[in-house]
Amino acid sequence: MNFVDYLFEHVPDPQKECILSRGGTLTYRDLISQVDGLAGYLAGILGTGKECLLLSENIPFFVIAYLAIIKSGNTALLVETQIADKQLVSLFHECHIGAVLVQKKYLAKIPDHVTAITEDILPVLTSVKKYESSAVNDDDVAVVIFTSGSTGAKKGVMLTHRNLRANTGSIVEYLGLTPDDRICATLPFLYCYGASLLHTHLRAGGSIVLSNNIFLGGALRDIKTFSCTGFAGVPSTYQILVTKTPFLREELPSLRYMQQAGGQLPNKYIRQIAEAFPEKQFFVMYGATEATARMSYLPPALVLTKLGSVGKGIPGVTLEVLNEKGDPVKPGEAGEIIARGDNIMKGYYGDPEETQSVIKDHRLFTGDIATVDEDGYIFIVGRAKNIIKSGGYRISPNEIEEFICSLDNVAGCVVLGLPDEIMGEAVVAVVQPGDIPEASLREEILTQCRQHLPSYKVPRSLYFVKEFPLNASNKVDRQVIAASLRSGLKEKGVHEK
Amino acid sequence: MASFNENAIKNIFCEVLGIPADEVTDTLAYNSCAQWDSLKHLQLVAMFEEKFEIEIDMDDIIAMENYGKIKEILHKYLT
Repeated sequence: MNFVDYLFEHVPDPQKECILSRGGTLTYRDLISQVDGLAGYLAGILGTGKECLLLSENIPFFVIAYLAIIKSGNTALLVETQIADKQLVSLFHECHIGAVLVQKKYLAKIPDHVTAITEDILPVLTSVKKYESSAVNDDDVAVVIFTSGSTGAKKGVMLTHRNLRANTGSIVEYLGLTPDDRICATLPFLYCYGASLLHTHLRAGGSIVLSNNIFLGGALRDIKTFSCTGFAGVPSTYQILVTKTPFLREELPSLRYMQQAGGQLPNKYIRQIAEAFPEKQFFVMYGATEATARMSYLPPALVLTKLGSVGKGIPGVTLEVLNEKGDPVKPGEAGEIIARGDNIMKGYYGDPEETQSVIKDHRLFTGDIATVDEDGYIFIVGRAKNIIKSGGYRISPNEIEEFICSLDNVAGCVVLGLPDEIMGEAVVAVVQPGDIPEASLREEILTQCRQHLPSYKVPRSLYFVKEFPLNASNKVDRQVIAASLRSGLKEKGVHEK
Repeated sequence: MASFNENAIKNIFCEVLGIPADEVTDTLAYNSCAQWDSLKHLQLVAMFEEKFEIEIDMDDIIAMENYGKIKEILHKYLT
């Protein structure tokens, strides 16, 4: 079954509001008719089985274009709106892009010779009649989500119609979503967590509020204005709300639950939120793009008794934590989280080797290190992969290191993630300077980073060292650098979590 | 609390967003400027608060959606 048909299988009332924003509302009938219009257009110019690049913020155009691409039997390639021009150019080389759908605001990013479809096409297509979905196989790729890998190169995670259906159904079940649910969506739909909000609420016959604000505090207004029943965030979402807005003093009467994923929210915030909103459910969850989105959740009733746990596998997903010998860990022992289920990706786009290194025997090796308590609840304690998680983004230190090392007068560079009150982790660069005053090099590095890297990859702080500490195998010892930075910050009176 | 200084505001604005001073006009807006995303906005607010020793209210942070509004709102705090 085409994933879009699955989403619209139980449309409640076609007149019901579906996509809401301060700019206007789409009912289910509006949405389906626009999706049909664009899907028919795409099938006409492309046929099926082609790749369509989609670059847009969370506006109605994104939702329509995304669903139309999948419904027409084509594959949606999702990239972040802040993608560096160089990376976008390499995507055009590596992929077989048949059509480009882009929000007008980002048209300048698209190479000149490429014809792009923007939101301007929508009014022209609305009169088109119903479009029957293109037949697809369950294992056809519906969407490719590009995320940062640990090497810095973009990795395209291929998700099939089956993957999307399995994970959507499972999330609807454990969150208990109904047609009465309305999510306040601040997370971008072009990443798996944001996409899961869209999928699950369409499937449940609920509604989605596009909450695009210059500042997250605006989401609190949107929850009240639109009477949202649900809210979703990554750690930095909640950290910003707690530290920079009156969130904890709000009543938010319409809100039934909150969900959190995308990295570990420090326990003190979980406790503060759970205690401030004792009547509301707080779901702590764990997932990965490679698993479509979600792998585990902690039942809200246990949020304080199992504080810091990501819970157990969601319906349809088996999670194991295995030690180096491949045996299940004993309580207290650490091992790698391994997942099995219909939500595990088909593989990485154009990279069978990397696919084989993480999927073995239909099992996903997540690279996340965890312990399991005597009741079977999983606690994540670290990552095997060298990845920084900042503001909900996965960031490869290697990519930033390579960029800074390519600059003049830089002899070496190490990029680390340090604990940060707001961002979860902050990107910090430690640079070994060439023969040049540090002040001017600092300015040059930051200017170049701002010009060539997306804002979330620009180092928050820069430190200079004469020599990097080396470990036993003569490699730069990242742990020693991180530890000395942390103790240095403490001396200056800056307290980490 | 520091006093109102338009140059200082512009310097911070250009430094955080990474855009040249001669491209900054009062109508330069969050909605149309690709460099100005919500993450940068948070950094902008943090820099203003630190440099001018003020604390900006949430409603004002939300209202700072173009450069002219930023000046207008900071003026309120700095006089």
